[in-house]
Amino acid sequence: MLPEAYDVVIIGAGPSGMGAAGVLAEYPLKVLLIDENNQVGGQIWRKPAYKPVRRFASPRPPALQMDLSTAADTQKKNLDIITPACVLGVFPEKHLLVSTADKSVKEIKARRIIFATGAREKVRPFGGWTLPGVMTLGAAQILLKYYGVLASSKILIAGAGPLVYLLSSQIIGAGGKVTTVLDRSSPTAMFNAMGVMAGQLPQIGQGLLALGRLIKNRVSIRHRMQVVEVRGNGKCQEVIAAKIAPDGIMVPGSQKRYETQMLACGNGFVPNIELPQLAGCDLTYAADQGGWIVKVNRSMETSLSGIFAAGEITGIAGGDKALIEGRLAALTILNQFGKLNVKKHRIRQTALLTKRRRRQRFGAFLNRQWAIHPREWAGIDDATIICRCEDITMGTIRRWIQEGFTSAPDLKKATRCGMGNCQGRTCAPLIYDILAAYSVTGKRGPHPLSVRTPVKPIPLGDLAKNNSFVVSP
Amino acid sequence: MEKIKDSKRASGIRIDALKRGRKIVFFVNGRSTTAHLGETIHAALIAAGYRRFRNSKTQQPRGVFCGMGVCYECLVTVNNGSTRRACVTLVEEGMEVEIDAS
Repeated sequence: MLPEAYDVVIIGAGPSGMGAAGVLAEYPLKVLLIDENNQVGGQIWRKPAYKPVRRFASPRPPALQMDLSTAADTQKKNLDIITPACVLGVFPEKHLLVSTADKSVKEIKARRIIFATGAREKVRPFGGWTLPGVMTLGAAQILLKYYGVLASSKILIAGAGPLVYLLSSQIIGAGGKVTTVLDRSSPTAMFNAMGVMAGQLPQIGQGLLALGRLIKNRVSIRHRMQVVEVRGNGKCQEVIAAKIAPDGIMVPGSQKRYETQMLACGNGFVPNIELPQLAGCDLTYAADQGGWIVKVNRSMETSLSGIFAAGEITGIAGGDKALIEGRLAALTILNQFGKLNVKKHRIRQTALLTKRRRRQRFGAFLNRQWAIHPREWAGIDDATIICRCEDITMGTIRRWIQEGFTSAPDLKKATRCGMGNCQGRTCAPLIYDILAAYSVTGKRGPHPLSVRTPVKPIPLGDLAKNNSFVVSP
Repeated sequence: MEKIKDSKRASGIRIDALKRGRKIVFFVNGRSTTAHLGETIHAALIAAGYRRFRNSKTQQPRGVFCGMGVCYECLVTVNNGSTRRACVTLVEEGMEVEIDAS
């Protein structure tokens, strides 16, 4: 059986993937959009499972709404959408191995690939962060926004960045109660943010609205506070937070105790670079852009010709930057296919690149805001779990670093951290931070964990069912 | 607002701002539980007050963490066979879900 062939395959249907699809769908090209979730839209703007009878969350931005409808309109024409589907591997000559909802695995061939795989949340570990009732800000938001479920009548929110305030405001809007907001950043951060955000009035407005709602509802906001422990008998019952000084040291005697059944926390985002890494795209480590990111040029092309990366995987900066980059990648492809004249391409590209730079500045500001200070790692006790899949503790990691295992791949071999079901997606970014904090990067410099096909676990039966493809090692 | 009252569990709340899908019944460790069509298993379990979904390698309790298919902490057994991520699997009428709530 010959693999299905497409002109362009877009992996990930969030803002960047949708942005690319919206541009490409206007042209007579065979385009495929794949997403792991049940619907398109990605984590920020995917369609809620149910229609709201009253508004409790902010509507999606008009630009994206347009792209979503464009994609829906052209669905009958040149754009194929497969959801939920997971790309398990990328092979030479742009062959992809894709598993779909009907539990079949098929091979797809592309002339161009756009990786638009987005980001995941990062959480600074603390004792008890594995207890049921502790979840990421994103998890709490998905439950509320898409399924209309509040995990508890009272929720404690901790972390840094706009999501802290957005989620708090949404919970209040939905009739829930936010007991306290523990914001890691300093009180002046918000004003600084406005400076960086100059010219982005809608975002400033949204931020002020969220903050206003919190003040109106008398939610207490504590700055520079970090959760250091969660206690409870088999579940979250109380949260201990402490003040972290700007130099990363916990202020003695600053501990505060909060009773709560539910803690939502987050420390920013890390790019999902696994697929481009597997394809062989060059990566680079940039702490102020979220860690390991995919290297791209101004046209969004990676180090591999015909393979593009767009959105959070080229540097964490949010949905707007992702949308811009998706469009940039699409324009380059149109240009390469001779569908767009050079002058027209230039004009549109220049305009998009200007907007992109502004978002990148804001992204860098945010990434610095929620960064975990290197000194904080020394304050995390030996019993705290770092790799949640394999239950590997901070103590074990420390011991092996002292033994000379100073790269993430070496630590993985020594301790099994990053070897579980999530394949290091949760702990690898923490390990990179720990190695940097201990100033040990090994002889080869910082090195990401290796990735292998299949990049997500798949039942062997699903793979065995399809024997139409031959994969050489 | 529909509050689930059970002294043993924390209450989960389905907010009233949404027009939900049809009510369906599924089973959690054999116990019949209400959900709505269109909900994921994790949303239905949380709304029903369940927090602990499974035990880790060293038998520590775990539940929903990332909620978006990344962390694999919410793995549950579905229909006596396959292990699924509760956060990305839709709940179905009559579905049998096994969790490690002990």
